[in-house]
Amino acid sequence: MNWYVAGASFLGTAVEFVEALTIVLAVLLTKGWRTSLAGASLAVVVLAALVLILGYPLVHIVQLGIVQFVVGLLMLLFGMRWLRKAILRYSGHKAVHDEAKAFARELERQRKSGAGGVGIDGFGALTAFNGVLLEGLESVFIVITVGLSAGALPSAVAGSLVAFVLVVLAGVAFKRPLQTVPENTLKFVVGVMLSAFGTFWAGEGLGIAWWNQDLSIVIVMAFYLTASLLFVSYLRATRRSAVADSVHSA
Amino acid sequence: MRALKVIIGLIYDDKWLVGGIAGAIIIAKSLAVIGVSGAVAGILFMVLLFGAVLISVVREVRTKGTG
Repeated sequence: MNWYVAGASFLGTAVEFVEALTIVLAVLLTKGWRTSLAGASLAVVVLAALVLILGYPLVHIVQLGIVQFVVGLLMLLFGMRWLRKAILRYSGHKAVHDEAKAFARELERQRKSGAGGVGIDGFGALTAFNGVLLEGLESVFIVITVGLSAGALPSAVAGSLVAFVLVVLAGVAFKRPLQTVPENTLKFVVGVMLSAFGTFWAGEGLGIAWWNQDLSIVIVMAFYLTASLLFVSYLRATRRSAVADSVHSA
Repeated sequence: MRALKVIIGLIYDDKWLVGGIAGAIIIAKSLAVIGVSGAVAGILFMVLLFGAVLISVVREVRTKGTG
């Protein structure tokens, strides 16, 4: 066992697995575990097939930039749509989603669909699929390049497997506390997160060399969250003054 | 199939948002091609994308009033 190679592979792939886990958890909490696991499992199957069929040349055949751009664009489209709706809801320009009513409606829908109802949301599954496929591809690239350059591929694979198991365990531990977050807040945060991931990946696909690479995702998230909250306060203030004006003039 | 419908619906419903994203992408690609530094191009890309959300929200508020 080459511990340096295993360590490098562990650290490199752990970052990618955490990013994939973030998206899988986001889909799980908003669209349900079936949708999330369906998308993630399909991505793992596609990834495994690619690795088995193509082997080492995968690194040269798959154009990561194109995959990053396509996945990033989809994440941007979905994430920014959610962010837009969340801003409208929180500023009072759109009715806040009644979580109890929505839950009752979902239960009724599931009851009507019966035992045969699969209950998989296409958009959610696609989001989880994209996130896991892209991060999985990046992880495979890390393992192959680190492993082959040091001539210690088994060590690189071992480091990556340990990272995978630890990240999955962390996901299981975080799932329950995250489920207590109110749905409207969760959708706001998920909108910010998907937009940030989309911005980062689409940017990478376009050729932008982000500052400190993956760490930029946190900065983009912080920017979108702060800017959205400021915009919500501004919209609330203008709405209040518009209502006050209409009361005065009446 | 449903995901495809969502994408088509999104383009139809939120023309300003989708148009803004497309504009941000064109500008970001141009900056990357002419060799603007990653930090500058990244910040501009991020700001332009949020600008697309901002315009889309303002359009909706103006069209539908104070709600």
